[in-house]
Amino acid sequence: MPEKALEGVRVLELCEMVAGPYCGRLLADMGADVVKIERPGVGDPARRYGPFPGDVPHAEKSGLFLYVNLNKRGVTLDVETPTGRRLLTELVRRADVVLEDRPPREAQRLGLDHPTLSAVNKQVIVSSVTPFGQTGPYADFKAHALNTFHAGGEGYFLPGGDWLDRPPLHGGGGFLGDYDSGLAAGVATIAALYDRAISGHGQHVDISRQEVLMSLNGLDLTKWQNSGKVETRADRVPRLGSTLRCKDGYVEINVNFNHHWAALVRALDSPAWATDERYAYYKGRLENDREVRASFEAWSMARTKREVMETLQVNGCPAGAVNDPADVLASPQLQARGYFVEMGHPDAGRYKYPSAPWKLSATPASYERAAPRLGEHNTDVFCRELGLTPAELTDLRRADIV
Amino acid sequence: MSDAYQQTTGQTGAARLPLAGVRVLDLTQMGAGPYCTQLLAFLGADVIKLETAERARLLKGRSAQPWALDQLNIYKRSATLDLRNPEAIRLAKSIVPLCDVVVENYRPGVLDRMGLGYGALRRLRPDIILASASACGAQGPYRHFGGFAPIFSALAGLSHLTGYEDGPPTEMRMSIDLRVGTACTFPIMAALRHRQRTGEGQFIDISFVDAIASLVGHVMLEPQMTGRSPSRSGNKDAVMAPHNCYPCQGTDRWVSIAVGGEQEWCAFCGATGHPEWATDPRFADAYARKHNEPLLDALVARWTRERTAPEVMTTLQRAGVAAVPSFDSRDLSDDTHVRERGFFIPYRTQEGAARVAAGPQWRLPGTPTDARERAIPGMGQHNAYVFREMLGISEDDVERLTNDKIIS
Repeated sequence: MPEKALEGVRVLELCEMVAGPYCGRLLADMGADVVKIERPGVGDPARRYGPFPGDVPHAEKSGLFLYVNLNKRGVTLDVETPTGRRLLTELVRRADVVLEDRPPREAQRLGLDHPTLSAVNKQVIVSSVTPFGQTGPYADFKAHALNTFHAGGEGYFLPGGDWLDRPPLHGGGGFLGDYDSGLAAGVATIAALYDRAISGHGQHVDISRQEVLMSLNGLDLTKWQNSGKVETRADRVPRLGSTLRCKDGYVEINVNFNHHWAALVRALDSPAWATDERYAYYKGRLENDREVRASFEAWSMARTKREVMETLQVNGCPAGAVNDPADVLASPQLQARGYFVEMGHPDAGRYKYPSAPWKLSATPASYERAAPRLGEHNTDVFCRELGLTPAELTDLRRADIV
Repeated sequence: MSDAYQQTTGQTGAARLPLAGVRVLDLTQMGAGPYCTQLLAFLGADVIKLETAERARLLKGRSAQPWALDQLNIYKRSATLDLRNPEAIRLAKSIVPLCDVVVENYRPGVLDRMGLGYGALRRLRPDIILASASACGAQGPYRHFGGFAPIFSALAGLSHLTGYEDGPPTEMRMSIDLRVGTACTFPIMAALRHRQRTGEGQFIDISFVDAIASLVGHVMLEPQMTGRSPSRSGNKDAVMAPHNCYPCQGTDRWVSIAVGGEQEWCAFCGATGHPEWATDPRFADAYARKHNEPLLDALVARWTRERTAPEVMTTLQRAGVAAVPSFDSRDLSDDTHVRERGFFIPYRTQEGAARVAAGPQWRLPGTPTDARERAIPGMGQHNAYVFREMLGISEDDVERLTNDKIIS
């Protein structure tokens, strides 16, 4: 069996919805033992988000929850109670990483802050994933995924074009910035693990979801400070390249360089309109953009998005079908890469899940278990690992602590 | 190690950065690859950007303003080699044994043809980590596809899912490049951690399309679970209402508001001075609010329109309701919170002009917040460091290689 990059790393995850849990999922895919701690009875609110099989809501069948919690073990624990906190302390003593997403003031109240946790375990790494980070006047502000996407400046840029009478947009899928934050937390958490092997001590990783989005949009956001230009949606006009219509939807083509234009002309068999000398250079194509796009669409509207993409790519012009989720699932490319892994779940059934987007030759991602059912590993963790007796666990259940 | 660290951060006495002492050979171009190595540099790695006249050509390009792409080169070193020349390849190979990680984003197969594929690099340094990133990855029928950011997000399903219900798909650009760049950094960190424990290097193959598809991964379960392939839904959420961007005082000024659960809803009604909404049967519970969302949105917009976006944020946050303006770049540069955290990093161009760059996506002790002490490297600025100091080539030979345009 191949080795795992994060073999032996024990992670406690006290996070909900997408940002923190996606970090946990990424670490778990690389071989970390991630134990997710949920509130007794209700669990992670992601369990109430769909999609659900046959559109019937069920806490064990949420597509969102199942995707971001793959490969983890799960326990329930009420960390608001003194007994719950004592058990948590025991778990922290044995952990390498604690992932948490409470507002800083609440984390402090619950003893989930870095000073408290590092007093229990000097080596522990605490990764905090919050809307605005650990410091500053907004540190305890509330923000859902929609709010952080706009807090980070990306929303204001979307959608490009003449839409100023309509509201700026959230990223597709509903949790784009949250996934970004999980990925950022993953990078920084492994960096802290790498550092710990040298320095011998843990540290506090501070992830502000706002800053994650600002960093990802940094090249556009710094235009104001560097050149006095406030970019808006109106500046992002569609031009060649852009999203163009075809028979069954849309195709994205990017003609950024002259050799791409030459490839496009070749792909279309050099029609008279395309060999117009005004279009030979970028500037001319930009000035006549509307006309160029109309002529192109007259050709593309007679073809499917896949035909258009393949014809252009074979000739060396960058193009991509605007895929919907069903197209992505059926993509011959993603199938050839083995991107989707099929996993069974006792309640939800068998589905294909997106796997890690990277392939490591020596330590590939591994998929060993579906997302945990609520409290599935209580016996595993509290009895087998912490040494509680079955009778004690029963008492904790009766007290609603587990 | 401490030397590498000081040279990387220019700071002494600050916390040690995690990748101090790790050297990265950067063969990337455009936006995604350079952002990946920029993140490694922010973590303390010594990044040597090996480049040809390519950067100068790109920077002269019509749309890219010099400071835009150049701000991805903070803390890097620059050495120039014309890799079309066999002698330049030999020189590149002599740098490899002195490096821990090599990152590249040529199309699959190009590095092999240059004689710098994983097999060759491994012979030069058995524990080398090679990260190869491309539009669709190194395997599969589309492996030769070329692409830019909007194509990755189109193929991955993100463009289709972003937009108004009655509008076209949304094209996304630079942020997509930086997202896939981050997706290159993660497996490099995992591979470094593995090497630290076992001494084993490895080859990493990253697909930009897969990287973006993972950021909408839960949506891929919907066709399987319901038989429907979902589409654009504006700012709507499956559960919450209100959940939208609402117009505020001023031109093109907006605030995002998301109200989750009964407690937040009651707080929202109180804070807006409309307690009657809480008892209105049309908004009495989550189902009713979702059902009457257009009407609810109109009422909320009537309230927000009378106020500035920061006012709405302050009023609602005080009541525990998630409200944040849809910030533009000027708002963020002036914002007290952003300023207090020191997110934007001042730096200097090669010519000495003062600029700012975006900071990294995390804060660790020692994460730099000021980069003025070390300007963005000019093309080949560190040729002497790389060829003379690291490789020990004589001054005469370096001069000959420069005259022969091998060091270009």
